[in-house]
Amino acid sequence: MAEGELVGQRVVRIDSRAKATGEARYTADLTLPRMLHAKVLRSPHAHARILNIDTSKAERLPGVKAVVTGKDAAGVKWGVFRYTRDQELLPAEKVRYVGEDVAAVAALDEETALEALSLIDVEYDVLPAVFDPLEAMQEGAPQIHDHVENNVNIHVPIEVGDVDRAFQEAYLVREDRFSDTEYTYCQTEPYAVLVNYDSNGNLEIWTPNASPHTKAKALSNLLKMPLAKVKVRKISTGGAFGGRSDIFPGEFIAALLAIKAGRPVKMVYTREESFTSVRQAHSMVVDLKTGVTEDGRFLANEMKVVLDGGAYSSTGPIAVSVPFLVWEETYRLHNVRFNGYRVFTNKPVRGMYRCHGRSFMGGLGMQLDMIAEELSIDPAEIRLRNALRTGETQVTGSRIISCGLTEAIEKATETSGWKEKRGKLPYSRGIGMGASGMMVGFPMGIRGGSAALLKFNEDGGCTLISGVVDNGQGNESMVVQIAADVLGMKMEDINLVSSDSEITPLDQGAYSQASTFVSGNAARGAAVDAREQILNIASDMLDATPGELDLKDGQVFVKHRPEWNVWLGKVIRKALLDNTPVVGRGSYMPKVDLRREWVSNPKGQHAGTFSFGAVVAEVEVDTETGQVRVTNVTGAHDCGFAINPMAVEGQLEGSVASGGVGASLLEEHSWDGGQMLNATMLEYKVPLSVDMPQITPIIVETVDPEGPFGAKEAGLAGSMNMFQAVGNAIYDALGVWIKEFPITPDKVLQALEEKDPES
Amino acid sequence: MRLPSFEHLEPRSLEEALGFLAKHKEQAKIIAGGTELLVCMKHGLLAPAYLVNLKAVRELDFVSEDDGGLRIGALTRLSTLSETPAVRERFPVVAQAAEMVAAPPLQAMGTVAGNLCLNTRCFYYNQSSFWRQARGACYKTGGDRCHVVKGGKRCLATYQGDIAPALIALGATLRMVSNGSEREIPLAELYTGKGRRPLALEPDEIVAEVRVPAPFDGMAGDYQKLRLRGSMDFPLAGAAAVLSRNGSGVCSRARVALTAVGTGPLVVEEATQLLEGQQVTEDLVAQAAEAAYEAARPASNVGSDASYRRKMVRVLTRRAILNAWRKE
Ligand SMILES: Cc1cc2nc3c(=O)[nH]c(=O)nc-3n(C[C@H](O)[C@H](O)[C@H](O)COP(=O)(O)OP(=O)(O)OC[C@H]3O[C@@H](n4cnc5c(N)ncnc54)[C@H](O)[C@@H]3O)c2cc1C
Repeated sequence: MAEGELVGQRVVRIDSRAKATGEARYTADLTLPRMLHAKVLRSPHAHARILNIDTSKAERLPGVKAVVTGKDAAGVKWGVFRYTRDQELLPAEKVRYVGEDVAAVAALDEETALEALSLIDVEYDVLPAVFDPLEAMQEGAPQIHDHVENNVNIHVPIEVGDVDRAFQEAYLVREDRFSDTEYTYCQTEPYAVLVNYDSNGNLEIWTPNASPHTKAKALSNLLKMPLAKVKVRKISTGGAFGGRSDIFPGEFIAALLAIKAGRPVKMVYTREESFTSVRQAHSMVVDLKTGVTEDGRFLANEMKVVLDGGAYSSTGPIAVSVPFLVWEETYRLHNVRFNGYRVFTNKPVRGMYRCHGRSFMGGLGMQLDMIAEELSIDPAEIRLRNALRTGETQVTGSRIISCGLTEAIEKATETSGWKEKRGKLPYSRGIGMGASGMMVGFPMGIRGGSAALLKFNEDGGCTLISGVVDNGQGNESMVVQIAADVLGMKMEDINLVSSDSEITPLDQGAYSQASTFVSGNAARGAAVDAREQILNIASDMLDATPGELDLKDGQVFVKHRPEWNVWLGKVIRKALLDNTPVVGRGSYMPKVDLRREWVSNPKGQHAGTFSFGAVVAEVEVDTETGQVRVTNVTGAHDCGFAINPMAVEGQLEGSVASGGVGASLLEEHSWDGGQMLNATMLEYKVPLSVDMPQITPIIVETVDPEGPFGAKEAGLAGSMNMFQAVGNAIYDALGVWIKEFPITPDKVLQALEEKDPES
Repeated sequence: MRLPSFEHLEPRSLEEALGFLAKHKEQAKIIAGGTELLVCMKHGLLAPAYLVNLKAVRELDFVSEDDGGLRIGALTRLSTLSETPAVRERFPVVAQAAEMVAAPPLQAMGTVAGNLCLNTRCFYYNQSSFWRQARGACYKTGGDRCHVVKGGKRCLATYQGDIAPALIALGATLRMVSNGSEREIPLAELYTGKGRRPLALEPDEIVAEVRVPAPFDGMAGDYQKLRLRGSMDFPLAGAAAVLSRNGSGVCSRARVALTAVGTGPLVVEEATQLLEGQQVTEDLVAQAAEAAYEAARPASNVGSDASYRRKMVRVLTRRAILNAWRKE
């Protein structure tokens, strides 16, 4: 195979066998000699001062080996940014949500740990709490953090152009409010962590994660240990969807316990804890004012979004900005005013889910359909008129180096039969669309790049060492496929060592949609480098210039005389004897404007490249029960280049399911104050296989000039577009706009009743 | 979540099982499929010292035809029930309801008696001990208040079993046995209508079998279930209708029963009065559905808004009656 022959093939992923047979190991499966089991005592109050914690009885319980409270945590605080460090991972003075960590016990078994928890006495002074972000912003609302007035955690203002004048010039101006509730990830694997601490001060951590390096750095800061001593090990991760990127109290507390007990400590959360005490996605209220020309082109966009951030900052500034960025990445905007607020409430901490702002996109995409209708323009057409194209620059300054948005919209409409169906289906059936752009590799400072190494064995096999992280997306397989392609090898002849913070070079992790674009580029670089070294050495052996040589199936040969060849293993041996062992090196850093900052300087190139997608959804509504069924989804995604088309299609299908069908129609939490009423897989309605629509994935390839073999990302077109597609399809079916997500059956019925009070 | 410790008893016969129950009374709990009981135990809602497992009591595992009617052993799995030809062909509404319980794996584990003897459910009750401890005991857990309706005077926990309404509408009875005695009661009488203690079942009593009388002439039934997902979910409302049509096209017998909209299954007597002896028209069905709506008393404690679920009773009842009528 020549270079470029293996990539693009539908290959079986390298992790498939272990996953299918159950051989893959997850954190909860692990045991170490002398391992203890830990459990956390959690706050039953949404907001309370901790007056006293008495752990003496628990400490005396036989089998208990360590107890920790906020006192052991030494007051250190965590936050993703220097200016958002507001979370004590084991608070000493105050709890801010139901389910927050208060104390923890490590014991010989879980039963003993649980019993010990019941022996801990905590005295609380219960404080007034606030649960609604709009209320939390009001004067006189309970103040959750002493240093934050009106509970406004982050405010991101962005203004470009002359917005007020543009509105005056607009032919049509619309104002709408959309809202959305919070979601929970419901990864198949509940949160778990295992920590081992040895007498030389080495701390080893196993936990499902999207970036071992990020976890290691945070823990090294929090525990004041050198980075080299904090080793986040590789372990299979049962799904992430954005919910495994940040640092959580669990790993910090398990580390405190392991250090205190001098023994390994494992902690496995219940499903309820995984709902309440790790991360959720933000809920939001979105006010949109949009002005367009007579032919439906954007003139002015004013948007205000208030996000419920829960008790702490987490990825705060990113969460606030991304909703706007995604819109900016999709359409040609000229005059924009964005004000995003993330507000503290006494609810669990909110983080990133899929990509922030799906419901924000939902609102914008529905408002765009409303505008299209008022102007008698087809919704696909209005999108095409405003869609960004290759070579254009987004309103805050990012240049687009490859763009298949137009093609994606055209293909999705063509394949779904849009023209024959839109506005023409019988009452109660409808079709709608959504479109979006997506950043690939955004500024993360020194942590934004990836490096890879490739070393050869004397038998011609090799090991790829890459920081790439796989949470189920297929990233591990992707780097191996790329390296195998470059080296003319079979995938099974390349061994992968990955996602270990001690062994593998720095990598951004499965984050900002960057794995293929950044880690894939680094892996390709390492393979290209190794190939060059091999051809150089072989050129002596074959008496030809490196340029005349090729490498394939373990043989280096002269291209025009393939019978002149040498076995790869022999080349490797010669390299060893010559003291020039073959070690390939590659790295990649996305070309972003490093001066760009989320809050203080939101301008300049903010991602290496952008991917694009369009989704068409068809729904069927039971007009008596209000139940909506998504019957068909056609999704076209510009992934740049499909390294493994099967994986790209799988990603698209997964993103229709997770954060798509269920989140737009069913997933929501019921609350009583700060207490979650449905922290179970039974009562939180993640769609089941029977609820899934027929999905037709379409791959659009634009061959990105920067991406490895032209590849970008393949994860998000479905979930970013399902909200608008479903909301618009419901309008097409029933003639009502429902602006509050999720669009549950009771809301559908209510909208129908309001439209026709007689019914 | 962990199970509390208990002693596991495995009787080999009904007699032995009854002996264990007579001996341990309130300290013991029957376990059949365990799909409901074990979840409650993990939540710390129940901590019986003994579990009397009926698994090996083979004499309770049967479906047989009897005088044109059916006898269904207590231990019959829901999947067996819906696959049995006599059930499918002659009482299809029972198979229809059984196939809508939870999801296929749970139907393969769950039993008929376990389903009929489901405890009532509530968002404030079916929770972990940590969760419940945050707000104190309610009527259902031995306290003196209701968390669903603040100031409420009684427990509103909801009965959400799926097959009771169909069996009630068919006029099913239960054979209940205890050490030395036996009684047969109409299925509807198993339910006390009290959220707190929903079953009229003595601690030493076992539901041995369900008896379904022979079908009436021209009989057909239908069950309609409201759930948010296509599988797995307990009903948010459910309506079963069983109607018979005589030779002259008149409805000779009509029974409508509801689930998940009150503290026990509800029989809508008024629907019977409206429909029996009449030609079934859309208008009459609408009146019967209205009567069901009036009878339903859903509380906002099992997901979805109570007023929405109540409205749905109207829709489900109408559909169930019309479907039953059209099937014949
Ligand atoms: C995720 C999930 C979803 C579910 N969805 C539904 C649903 O949609 N609809 C529905 O109806 N149910 C549902 N269930 C509940 C349950 O699975 C079924 O009702 C099942 O039929 C219960 O039967 P079992 O044999 O497993 O009962 P068990 O758990 O063994 O017992 C349930 C109760 O019945 C008592 N009992 C059992 N047998 C006897 C007997 N012979 N005599 C006296 N008492 C007895 C037990 O003591 C216990 O109190 C669901 C459960 C789960 C976990």
